[in-house]
Amino acid sequence: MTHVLVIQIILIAVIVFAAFVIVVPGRGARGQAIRTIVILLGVIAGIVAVIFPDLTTKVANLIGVGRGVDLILYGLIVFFIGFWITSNIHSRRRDRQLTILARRFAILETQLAEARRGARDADGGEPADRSASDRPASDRRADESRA
Amino acid sequence: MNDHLPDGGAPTSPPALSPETALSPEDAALVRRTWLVVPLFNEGPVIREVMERARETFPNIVCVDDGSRDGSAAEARLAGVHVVVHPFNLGQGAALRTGLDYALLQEGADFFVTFDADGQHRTEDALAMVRRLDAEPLDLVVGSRFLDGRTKPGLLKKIVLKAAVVFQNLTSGVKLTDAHNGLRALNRRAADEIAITQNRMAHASEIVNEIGEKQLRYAEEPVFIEYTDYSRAKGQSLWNSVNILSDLFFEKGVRH
Repeated sequence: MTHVLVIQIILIAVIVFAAFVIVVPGRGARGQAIRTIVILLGVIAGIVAVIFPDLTTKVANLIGVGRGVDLILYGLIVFFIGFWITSNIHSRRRDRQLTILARRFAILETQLAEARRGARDADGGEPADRSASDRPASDRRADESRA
Repeated sequence: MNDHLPDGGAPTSPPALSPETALSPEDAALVRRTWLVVPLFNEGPVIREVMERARETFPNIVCVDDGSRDGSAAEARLAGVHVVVHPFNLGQGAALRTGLDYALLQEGADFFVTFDADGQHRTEDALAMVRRLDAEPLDLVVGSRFLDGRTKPGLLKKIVLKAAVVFQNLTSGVKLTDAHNGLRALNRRAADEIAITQNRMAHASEIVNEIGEKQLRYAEEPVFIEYTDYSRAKGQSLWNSVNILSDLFFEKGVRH
């Protein structure tokens, strides 16, 4: 019973710690350093576990987990959850930046076309036929697919 | 001068039937200061007709084509409205924001109306909302289907919409009877200040939250939504309410 309790406490602590590592560091030098250290520790732990296969089971027994593989599985789950949350947040942030970029691009493109037409009209010449070349490529594609 | 079709999408003169003659001088002056903002996504079969009808009342219209694959942008240009084309699909919220940004850049634009591309909104309602913006000290006027008995949504749709309203009132403190109505009229302040970061459908809820946060002065106007077979077939699936809630939930995570 007490063994189960120990692993629960450890798992919860690790999850909370992982949450802090994930949320607090941000992009600064400190965040990057923490991430590097965590990765290094993971690599070292992995190498040690390969060299001394029994070690994981001993550590597991010490904290109340039956087998070494279970301990590694727990670690993997914690890692996976943390990874999923961070990548989700990052991808949403990137989506938003991409949206801003695409919206600015769309408006600029339209303004450019308008300015060009304005200049053509000001020339007084017969306005060029609505040639495909000065319309957005996406439209041309749309037209072609309809044709 | 403008017998050729605009490539950037901008008309330089109203269509031959000169729509403003049908309006009173006051209304005619009002619609010249108004821009219709129309998010457009795969409405090729109807967009030209809808826009031609809208232009009978409103001379200034910008359609934001959100990566349609059915030639919607070309169809809209044939109606002689301004067209801004997203390079790829970004969602209706982004299309609204793009349209507002574009309209805000236009000279003499004082009022902005968000208007659906599928023909379910009526220009009479839009005009009535702009009149109120002009006459009353309001930043925005939001359409509501439930202020009178004209609109008849299905029972299930009604329940979901009502539930959205209750949730919205609780979380934003803004009292609206119809949280997800796409017909809204905004003045410059509202058009400028309302941030829309939700690309997908949750933007409607986000706009309501923004009204509360930015303390905009708002009012509701009864509007009639024409549920045609076309709009019903295209209409938002009720499953989307789940997506909306999930979007709003994750939004909190990204912000903090």
